[in-house]
Amino acid sequence: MATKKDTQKADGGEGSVKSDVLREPAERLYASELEAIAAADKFEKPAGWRLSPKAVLLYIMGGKVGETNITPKYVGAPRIVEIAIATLATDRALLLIGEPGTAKSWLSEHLAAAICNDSQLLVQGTAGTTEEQIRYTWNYALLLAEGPSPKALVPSPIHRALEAGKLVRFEEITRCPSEVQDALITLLSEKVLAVPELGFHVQAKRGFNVIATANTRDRGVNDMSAALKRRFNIVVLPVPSDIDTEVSIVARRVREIGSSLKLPAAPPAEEAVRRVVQVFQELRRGQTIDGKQKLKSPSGVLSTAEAISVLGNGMALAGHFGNGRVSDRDLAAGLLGAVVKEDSKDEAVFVEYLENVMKKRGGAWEPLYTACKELV
Amino acid sequence: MAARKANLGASTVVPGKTPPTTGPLARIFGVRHLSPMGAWHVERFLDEVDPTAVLVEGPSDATDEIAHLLDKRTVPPVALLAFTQKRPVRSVLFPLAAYSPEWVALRWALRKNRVARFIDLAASVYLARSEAAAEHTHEDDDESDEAEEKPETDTQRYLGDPYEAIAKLSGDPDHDTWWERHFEHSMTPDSYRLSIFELGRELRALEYESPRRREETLVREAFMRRRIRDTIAEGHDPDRIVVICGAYHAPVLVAEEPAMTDEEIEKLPTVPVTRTLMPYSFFRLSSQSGYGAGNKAPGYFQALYEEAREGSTARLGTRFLAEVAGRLRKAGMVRSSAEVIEAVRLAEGMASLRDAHAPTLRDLEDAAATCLGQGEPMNVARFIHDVAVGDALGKVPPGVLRTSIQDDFYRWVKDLRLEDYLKDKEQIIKGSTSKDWLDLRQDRFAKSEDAAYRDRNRSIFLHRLTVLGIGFATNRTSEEDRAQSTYKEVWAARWTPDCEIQLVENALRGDTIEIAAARSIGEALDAAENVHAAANLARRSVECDLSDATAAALARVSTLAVDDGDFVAVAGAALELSHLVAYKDVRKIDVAPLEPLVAQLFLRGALLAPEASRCNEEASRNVGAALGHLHRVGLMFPDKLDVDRFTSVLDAIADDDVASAHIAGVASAILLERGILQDDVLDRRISRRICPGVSPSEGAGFFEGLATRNRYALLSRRSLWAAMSGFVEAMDHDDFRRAVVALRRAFGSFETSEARKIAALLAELWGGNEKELLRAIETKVDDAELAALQDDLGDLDLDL
Repeated sequence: MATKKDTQKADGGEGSVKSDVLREPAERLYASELEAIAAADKFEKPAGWRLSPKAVLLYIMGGKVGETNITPKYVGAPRIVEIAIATLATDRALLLIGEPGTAKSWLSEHLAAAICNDSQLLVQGTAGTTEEQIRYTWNYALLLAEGPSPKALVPSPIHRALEAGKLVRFEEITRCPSEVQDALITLLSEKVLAVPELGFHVQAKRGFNVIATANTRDRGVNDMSAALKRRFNIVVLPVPSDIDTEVSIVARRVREIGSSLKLPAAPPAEEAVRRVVQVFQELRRGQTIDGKQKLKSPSGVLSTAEAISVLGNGMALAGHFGNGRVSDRDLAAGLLGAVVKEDSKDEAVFVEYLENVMKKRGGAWEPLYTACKELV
Repeated sequence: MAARKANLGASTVVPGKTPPTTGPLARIFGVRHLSPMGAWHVERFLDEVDPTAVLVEGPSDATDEIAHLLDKRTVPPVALLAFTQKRPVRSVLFPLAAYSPEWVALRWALRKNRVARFIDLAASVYLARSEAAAEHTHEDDDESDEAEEKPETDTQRYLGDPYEAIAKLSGDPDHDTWWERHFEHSMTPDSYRLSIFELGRELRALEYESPRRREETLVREAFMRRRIRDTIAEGHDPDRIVVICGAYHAPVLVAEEPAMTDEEIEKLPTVPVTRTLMPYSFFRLSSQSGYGAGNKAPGYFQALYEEAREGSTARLGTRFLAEVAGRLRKAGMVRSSAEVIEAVRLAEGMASLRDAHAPTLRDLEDAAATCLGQGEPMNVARFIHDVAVGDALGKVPPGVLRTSIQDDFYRWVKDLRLEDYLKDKEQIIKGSTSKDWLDLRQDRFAKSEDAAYRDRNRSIFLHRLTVLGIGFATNRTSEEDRAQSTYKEVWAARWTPDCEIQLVENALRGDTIEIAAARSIGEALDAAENVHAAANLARRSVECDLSDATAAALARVSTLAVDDGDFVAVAGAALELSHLVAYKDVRKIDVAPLEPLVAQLFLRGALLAPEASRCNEEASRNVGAALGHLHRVGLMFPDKLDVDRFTSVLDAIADDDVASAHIAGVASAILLERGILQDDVLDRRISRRICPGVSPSEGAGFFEGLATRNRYALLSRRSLWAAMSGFVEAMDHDDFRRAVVALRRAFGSFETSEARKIAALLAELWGGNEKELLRAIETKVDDAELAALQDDLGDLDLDL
């Protein structure tokens, strides 16, 4: 899961805050930027928001406020962020969907930090998530001793967000069992949480909203019901479409892996990274980078995170069994493994790619082609 | 028409008006063509000024055609079209939709009996002047589609396209969105006219046009000024003349700038042109149809205009999204009203992020993708496109004008000397050598270039007509002719009134037979779902000599080849394309792009074959034939294809016990033919496939496949016949009945001489008398025996 959080954040201003905490929340890490933006923000704010929608966009996409540089938090199409912000501003719940490594959680954290200065109201969805974590639970000792009372009530993050009029983040919503997901349905339409034991309702304050994230690979595990889907505006986060962006994300991350695992190998050359990323992008898109040739895409998804692992793997192979320099042979096996996962038809896809695209490129691609060809 | 106009003039005109000495020559209203809000404002402006003359930027020689616009039978969108009478045909197109400011202005003038005129350079002049330039299809004053000219000044280099630069500076994704946001939603009186005037003035200051374009613009503007002055001299009050022109020209139609003199007008070149009013469609207006003219979303703009006429564009977004949802529902996808409401709210939210008071088409599209398409633009793209483009078709009064495609047809018929065949009687077209067929080769004894290639040009023309579904001539070339040569074609012609109608029906596809044929193939390509169909279209475009269509078809083949998992279609396409290569001398085609494509299809075929060969008996015949196709392709280009992979695939299929027995047989036969199958390997496989205990239909199927090609190699193979003999003997009555169909099919194709050889081999095997066995084979079965056999075999249809 480490790659997931880190692929997009490398531009961030970490290190500006020193503390023992392994990872500070966004609103504390970027506190100075948020303050500068808030001070200069003259536009109208939706009820319960700390910043205006335009200021939130500035915070996410980066720019300049007076003397303060705002680092870009999300690298990609601004339009997507605009749709996300407009969704939250119109009081609709937001569902971010994407491949692993497309900065879903990253974006949701920063949206929450910018809009209500609190990104910590969080439900981490798992197969074991229960309805109590969405509604409320009890302090059973108190409950037994005194019977149901507001004092014995232990509110969930969603419950607290309702009361405070804040954003709550629901991570990996499709990993929760569907009956748990369903608890959200009336909550989102009525904006009220009933506590029948105590005979009262918690009315949502203005500003309350939900940002959920879901992984495209979980499709079919616990699909959201149509009723719940209808309550969300769905925004699909794309994998980086532009090769330079992806190359820089991958290269940086591979360097970090190398140093943190203390691999006895030099990080792969920029050209090697570019080649791997290009293969990934071309197969993922189903066409060559220049758009001139259509390709068949493998059945599995090729995420940025996997490109990183192919290169990391290559480094480990080169370090432990090779001469310390990542060769094309070291990459070929990883590449084949990433493309051909479950379906044997994917092997034909890879062979076609080798013969129709890689072979014709010749030149610098030659060694990688030869190395791959040996394997299939 | 002319008389009527003169009449009108006399009633309202007092001679002796003088043009103003400074400032605008008349009441100028700059517009963008096809701008609905412009049309709305123009109508208001006309009501307010109440002009005696309405002058519109448009080809002045088309003024007579204006009258047709008021005809009750005319329904927009229509287009004024002028085209040169000689080849190469070049044309200018002036499309008008109900929401065109020009349309609104002309209709207003005609309804109120005011003078209505076009004041731009005549189409005959325009086409003569642009002789040297690349084909230009439309007088487009946005001038944003001038890709063919290289920027030359610093400003040009800096801005490239100023319109896109403006959009970029204001943070809009493209010019259309910027334009819509700033101009198409403003209903404040005069706001449109004043702000577009400023835009035109600022754009002129940029001097971004190329010198050639600039010169043309200046000539046109001088001409327009002259026409305005002429109108004033006729006695119209300058304050009661309204000029509708492109925003770019509005600032310079002033008294200070010079007007064109009589001598200069004399000097303008002209070419003879034909003008016509033709029905147009929203699809052609939208840029997807390939014309630079028009706008991307005619359906949406039409809706905008209708809403504006109702009083406000506030409902536009709701109307648009509801319509998209409606189409989704019709297609079986349930979308609730709540989702439409959310989409409208989101679109408005996004508009307010940009401080705009109304969402643009772009906002609506994104909102539809988010709320109605569940985040995936692909889910709704088709429906959005349908609603945004719309499907309106224009109409013109019947019988008024001849369409340009008819002109083109008759011109070709004359050039190709086909007039004699325009009779309602079937005739075989005689070729240049006076034989009953066309010879596509160059006639070396012909005196002129035209005559040397006349038969080939005729063939191209007739193929194009076939593509367009015009039933003038039918291709009667027989399979035998085709097998013998690539240059021989037989055509039968017959002209019926239906052909004329079919011709007119194709007018919407394009102005010439060539353009229409290209578009028709383009449409068929978009619809082609299988790679074989696309390859077939590639062959047809080669026959029609349409190089762009051929390229598009080949691109489509390559695209489909990636997705198409149908082995039979892929192999068929590979064969079809390799045939094309054979045409290269006769039809002068470039085979360079074909070869890599054949290689790609061949490789894909090889990769798909193992999976495809595991099929049922029914499909096995097609797959077996397809293997044969690939084999033929492999023989045609042995150096350029991955033949090794193909043979190893064949080997795997032949050895694959799960593969259909027939296909395994075919694969073995091909390997045998190529001479790469080791004897002991083949023997082992034969005995595994054809042995007692194997299901009878499978054994017979394998044998049948094996016997499809190169039977001589089989005849001498004693082990095969030993295996067959053992196999047949081991069958009981029921098994034999099951095997006999395939066996008969396999043996039925053997010649008598081959049968003799088999008999000899079997006699040796069985230790019997060869002659006796032969006699048994060659004795004709008499009817009684046949009846007994039929009885015995029951309902099996052996076609004895």
